[in-house]
Amino acid sequence: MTFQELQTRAQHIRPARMDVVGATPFEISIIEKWEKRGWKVRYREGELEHCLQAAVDAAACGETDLLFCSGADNLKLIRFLDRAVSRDYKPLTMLQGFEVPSYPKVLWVGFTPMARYDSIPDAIKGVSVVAKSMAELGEPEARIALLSCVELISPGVHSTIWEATLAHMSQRGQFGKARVDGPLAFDLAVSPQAVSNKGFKSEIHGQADVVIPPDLNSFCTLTDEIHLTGPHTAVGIVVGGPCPIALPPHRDERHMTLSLQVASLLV
Amino acid sequence: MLKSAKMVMERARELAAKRRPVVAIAGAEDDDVLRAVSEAVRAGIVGATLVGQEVRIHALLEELGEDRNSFEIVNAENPKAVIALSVELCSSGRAQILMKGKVSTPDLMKAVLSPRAGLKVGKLLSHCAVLEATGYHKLLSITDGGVLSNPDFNDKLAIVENAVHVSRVIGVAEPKVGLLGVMNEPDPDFPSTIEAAAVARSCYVKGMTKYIEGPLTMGTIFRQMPEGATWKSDVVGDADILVAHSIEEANIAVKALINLRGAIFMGVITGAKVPLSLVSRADPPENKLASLALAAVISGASK
Repeated sequence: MTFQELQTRAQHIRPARMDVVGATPFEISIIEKWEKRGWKVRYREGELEHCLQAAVDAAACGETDLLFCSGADNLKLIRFLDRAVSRDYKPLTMLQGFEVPSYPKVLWVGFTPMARYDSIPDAIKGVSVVAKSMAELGEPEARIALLSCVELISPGVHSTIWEATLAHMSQRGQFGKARVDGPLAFDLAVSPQAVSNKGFKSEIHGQADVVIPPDLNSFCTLTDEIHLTGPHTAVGIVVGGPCPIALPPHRDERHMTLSLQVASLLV
Repeated sequence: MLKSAKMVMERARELAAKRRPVVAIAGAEDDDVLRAVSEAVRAGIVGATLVGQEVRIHALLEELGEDRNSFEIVNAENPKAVIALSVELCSSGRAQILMKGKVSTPDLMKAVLSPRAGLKVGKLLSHCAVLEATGYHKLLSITDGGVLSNPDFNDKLAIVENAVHVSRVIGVAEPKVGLLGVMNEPDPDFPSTIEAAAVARSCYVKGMTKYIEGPLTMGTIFRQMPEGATWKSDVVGDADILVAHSIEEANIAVKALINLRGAIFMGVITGAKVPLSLVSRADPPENKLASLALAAVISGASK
């Protein structure tokens, strides 16, 4: 999967309805281009949390198909969104996709910020939502790596326990065609050379489509690190809610448009 | 101040010219470890004592095309004896660096921490990864991604202390330490941010370093002050050490820099009388060599 492929597919998506919350004048100027292409856009103005609640309620009633959020940092936004959605949709899952020169395809970093990953049901929901979203984006057999600091199951490292459980569920087909494996150290998720040097056997084989860090700190640190240490293109979306949500990691035209295009593929 | 892996390597050579540190390899019948050590011996930064089954070590050296006369070999037939002899080499001062070969990591750590060995000097052992990352203006340490699985408040203080020691060895007089968090201010919704603030304050009060702040997000540390910030920072944009909340966070951050950004990695376990080197099979050869060079520099500094 590349962003170019996703953008090409997005050009053929039929215009739908979009709610926009907290947008700056610059962001509105970009969304106006979508309106010109036939999208029906509703701009919500006022107190941020209140607007998000109204937009989420509209999505739950089937009155909107896509949500664009701005007006605060992404962690704050997803906290507000998670509060706004009904229990059926909790916890929401954040997906950030990166194209970096050293990796041959889009590397998605997935996380469910409001989940407690020591709660197996939350972890299962998060991974299921990621697997489903990958299938909708055209990768039904996505390789999903559950990250930890080791590849061995160790009672001293709690994340390895629930990750092993999920990997076992995957072997039994409980995540559809997605191939979920863990615990895996980051190098075994993204480097075939590291896998071969270690003689490690895994369905991921150093070619993960998605990596899922074990906790919020790891997710924030990993995504910030990719953003700030070298060239990249990035996309941010929130899945698992009443409609796909575009949450661009950068507020420039290129990244906003790309995030909206990818989110529109999930409508 | 050493600002690159190359400078660490040069410093290790300078120190070795005066007195070459000896690495004791616990369980040397491991081709990967032997390759790394041979390379370091050839580079003139260390001497090596290989502990393990002599016959197998000879066979491996021959297979790798290495001259067996470049190494001292100590025969030990079982893992318990291998570990005991390797630790004894370090306790007695005949070796100044301990390197893990084909033995179990927990067993080796246990032996190092045993009071009988007399190797424990710090409060605890912790891993420090020192990275040369493209685009960053100096070496950056990230800790602890390798030893302590669930560090508590007191463990964090010791982790900072060990990492500050490594930074001082590479020439940073007053290391700037950032404790990573999901936001830049303590927030009761995220207990890790509260702990980061408490650890930062405690380390400052104890005088570990003049510059320590937390919680700070990775984004803030690398980039600039957050918009509208009412506080000033010496760490933002100029950190020497990043202290992660968990072993997973540090491990992932380090491996992402290596695998996605081509950072050069030097890893060492500190807190003992001698530095411990643990190289992974997955590490590229240049990183294994750099790790040994860092261990040699630390060893040289503690003489």
